Amino acid sequence: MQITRDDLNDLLQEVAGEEVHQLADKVSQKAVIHILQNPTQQTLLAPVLDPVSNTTFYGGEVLVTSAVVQVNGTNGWAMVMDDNHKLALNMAILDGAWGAALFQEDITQLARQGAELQASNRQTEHNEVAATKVNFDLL
Amino acid sequence: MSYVAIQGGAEAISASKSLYQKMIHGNFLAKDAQQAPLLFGLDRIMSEGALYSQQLGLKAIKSSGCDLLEAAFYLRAHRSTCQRVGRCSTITSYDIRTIRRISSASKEIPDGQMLGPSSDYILKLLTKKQSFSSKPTKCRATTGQQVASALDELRKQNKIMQPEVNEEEPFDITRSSPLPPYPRSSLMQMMARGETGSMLGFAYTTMRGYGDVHPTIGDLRIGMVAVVYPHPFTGNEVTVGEIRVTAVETVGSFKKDPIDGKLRLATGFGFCFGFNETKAIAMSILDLALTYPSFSIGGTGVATSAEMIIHHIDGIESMGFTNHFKLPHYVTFQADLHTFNTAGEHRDD
Repeated sequence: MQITRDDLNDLLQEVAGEEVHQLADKVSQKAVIHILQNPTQQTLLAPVLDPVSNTTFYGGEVLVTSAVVQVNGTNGWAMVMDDNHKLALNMAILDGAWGAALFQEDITQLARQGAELQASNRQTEHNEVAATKVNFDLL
Repeated sequence: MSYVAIQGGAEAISASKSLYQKMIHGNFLAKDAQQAPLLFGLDRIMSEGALYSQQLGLKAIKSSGCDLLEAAFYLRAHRSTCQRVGRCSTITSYDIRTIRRISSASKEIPDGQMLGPSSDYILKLLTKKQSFSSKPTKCRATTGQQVASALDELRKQNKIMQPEVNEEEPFDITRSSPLPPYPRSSLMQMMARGETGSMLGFAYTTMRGYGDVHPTIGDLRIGMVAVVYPHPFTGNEVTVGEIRVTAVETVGSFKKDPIDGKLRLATGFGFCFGFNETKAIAMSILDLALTYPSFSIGGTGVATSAEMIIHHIDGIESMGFTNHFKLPHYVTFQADLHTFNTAGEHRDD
């Protein structure tokens, strides 16, 4: 599976936060990191497609935490679900490192782990759900 | 009213009950074991508080001693302290990674019916131990595909009405109060964060003495949907995470379409954060009642009034107003008492 920079935000949230932290720590020891935006709680408004009128309405807001850093002068960003400052900062560092072509192999490997974990969890979930597939017979 | 007798599905029902038990015991979907037994309460407050945050939702439930109205209030209050950074990509029912999908309109629907984890078939008896088989399955569901609505075929055949809505941008009730005539998006947003019990009550009026909405569930699905947002430096869309949602399309009766006078079916839509089928179904019924008031006897029912719905289904507002009566009203009450006494004196005169 080809991992791109745009996959990182999703896949790195699948692996254990400690592993992300360790790799971000490794990057921090080799590169100059500037925090441009400390991890901050924000919300995203969620528009929903209304199939009745084919228009949209707002279903609510989703709490996210985002951070912006610079790794050797290259901007890095991450936005994670919920209130998770440490993960947002560590992921922003890895995103910046990827942009600065630092530790790309290590980051790819970690993201691959995330992809495999995600695929395996979803397959298990789908198998469980598939057992409930029903086709009632009319009497 | 006509039901059709069915048979079969015993294995699927058994698997559904088993999956439900797994879900509420943290062995299906939940990454956090604390969350599983509180799942439906958590989902309810995230939708009513209009803020999807599982961590803060759990904290709110604990802080409120499991008073769900109060817990939703915590989330709503927290929402107002956060910077809103933007909008995620539009969520559609098609994109939901379904874990449950049923239709009471058609037996055969695209991608089939899945009972998923459901309490529908569970006996509500606390005294009786219920055992559920959890046999592993050999079937495999399709993954990551868009699933068409069970009503799409009727839409293609031009048998479903599409009310005319002229809104360039959806109304946002968190930024300004909507005024009549209420934009459809303002009503839908209000209902998406409405209090489950209030919405159920109003929806129930349309089925009993104050209306004639007896809908058919065209497509009900619960599952996970991705929250997608553009990466500020690459400019490409990235997945921020997934949220649990419920979406329902119901079919009402047929009506003359004002556009061309042809008879078409009327539909209603319900959507909310989290797994809350009752709320989403109630919302779709209210949508039908509000959009097509003629379904109500004499064209006027309790739930056909947008004014009634928009101002009375918010749990946090109505709880706040009701509870404010506990505050000292000494001056107003003394004034009332004074008027009462004076009126009494004048009567004696």
